[in-house]
Amino acid sequence: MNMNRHPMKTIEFEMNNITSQQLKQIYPLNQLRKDLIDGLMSNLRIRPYRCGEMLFDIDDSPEDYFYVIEGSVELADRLRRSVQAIGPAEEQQAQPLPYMAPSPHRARATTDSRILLVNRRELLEALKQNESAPRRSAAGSHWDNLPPDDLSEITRRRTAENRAAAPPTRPERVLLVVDHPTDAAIAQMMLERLGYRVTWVRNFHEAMEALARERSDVVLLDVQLPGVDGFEATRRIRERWPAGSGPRIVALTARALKGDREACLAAGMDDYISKPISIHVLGAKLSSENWALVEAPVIKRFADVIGPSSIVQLIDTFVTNWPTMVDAVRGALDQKDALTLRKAAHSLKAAADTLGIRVVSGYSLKLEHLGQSGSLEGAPALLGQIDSVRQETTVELGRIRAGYSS
Amino acid sequence: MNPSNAAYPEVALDARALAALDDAIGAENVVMIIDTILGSVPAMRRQLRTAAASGNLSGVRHVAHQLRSDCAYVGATELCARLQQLESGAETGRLAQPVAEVDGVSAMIDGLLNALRGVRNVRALAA
Repeated sequence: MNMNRHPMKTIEFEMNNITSQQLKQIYPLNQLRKDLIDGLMSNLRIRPYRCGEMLFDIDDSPEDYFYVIEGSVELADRLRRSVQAIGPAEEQQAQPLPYMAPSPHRARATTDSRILLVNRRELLEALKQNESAPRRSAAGSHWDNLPPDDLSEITRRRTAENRAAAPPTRPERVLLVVDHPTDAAIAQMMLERLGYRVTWVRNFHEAMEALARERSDVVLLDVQLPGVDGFEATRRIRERWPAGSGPRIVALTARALKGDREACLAAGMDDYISKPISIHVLGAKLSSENWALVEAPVIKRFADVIGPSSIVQLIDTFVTNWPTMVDAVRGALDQKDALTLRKAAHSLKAAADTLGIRVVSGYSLKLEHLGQSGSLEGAPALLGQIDSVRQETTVELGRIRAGYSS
Repeated sequence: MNPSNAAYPEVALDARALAALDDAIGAENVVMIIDTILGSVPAMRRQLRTAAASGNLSGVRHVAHQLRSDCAYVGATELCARLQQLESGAETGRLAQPVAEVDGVSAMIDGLLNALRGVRNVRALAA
């Protein structure tokens, strides 16, 4: 990396006046972005600003340089010695960036985040320095022995340690009310993989007994239960444990008909999941926004720049083109054409990134890596995961779109 | 062709669905799920036939629904679509010939079981 060619001070961080060329200079470094996207980004809330992705093709990005990242205050403090923080929150509010105009969401974000400009080497060093500092977790660290560039390993370990050390931010206990053994087994395995403790019962009466016996954070309820069905079960659960004080109720349905969602919500359910269950959809529905299929704030930021009608158009275009883009990936896989796979996956990823569609973006990136490496092993599974979230993602996009179309 | 398989309509399993399931719950658990399906589907088929023969459309709908769920997980998309038709027909009362419809699906279920046994055997050999 040539540190002299792009010293950090050369970039005047006036986003209101920034030129395309300047944006290109601060576009995230390809490799770090790849490293970040799988874990570090979500766990530390570092993220390259996505506006760049919409303006420039990632392949044309310089191999060495700046990242514009959004980080928590805590992260900004950690990195302060090594990076240039672009003003405190108050200053950002005083000079709103064009893609981050003041809004209820933005106002919330400015209280706990900073905009940072950082290059790859410094970020790596800062992360390592941070690891040598005392931490709340007394679990000990093995990071000192890591080679400097092994960010993937850092990411992996940090992810695991964060998960172990962090206080639970998502519901822990799930009451699974499903009578069909296959559905029950698959749902239970997925839930346990996601870190939940699961109690499985087969019908409404067993569910009521279980709820009286032990606290459940979420009831995952098959709509088509024998006897008392999911709708009636929800009404009776809500009579005894009203919304707000009782568990969240998430329906499982294989129907996925228009109006089903409204029927579920009308019955008092908080959300619904279509079968066959996708582990990503399950994680997204049961947990916090960290698992969201679509990051609404990403769309919000973009909307602040291009306006609501353009966002609606963009969402429509994505939903319309999704099958074509996925078919291109599928076709490349069928032909075992790694180069085409890489390109097709890259296109899908770029489109998904633009709208903050995280799961699709993550799997597309992995597909792109496989295409790049020439090894297609595991690619069908990745494509299967993308397929598995399509319906829920489309519904979620539709929900977000509605907020911009009125 | 194995003579014992000759009467089975071929049921293709979408490898992507199984691969996605591998990814979600682990390959060893997928084998367990396949075993569960192999163990439960014959009984469900009997229930389906009994319900159809007695004109119990609610029963047809319920069992078809559960079978459809199994088919979706293992990528038996064609059979899944047939079961959805059966389920919808039973739900709306527009199933003209329930027994014949169920017989048609039943033959495909043989194909499904055969295909799943194949997957099971391949995985057992690979393990």
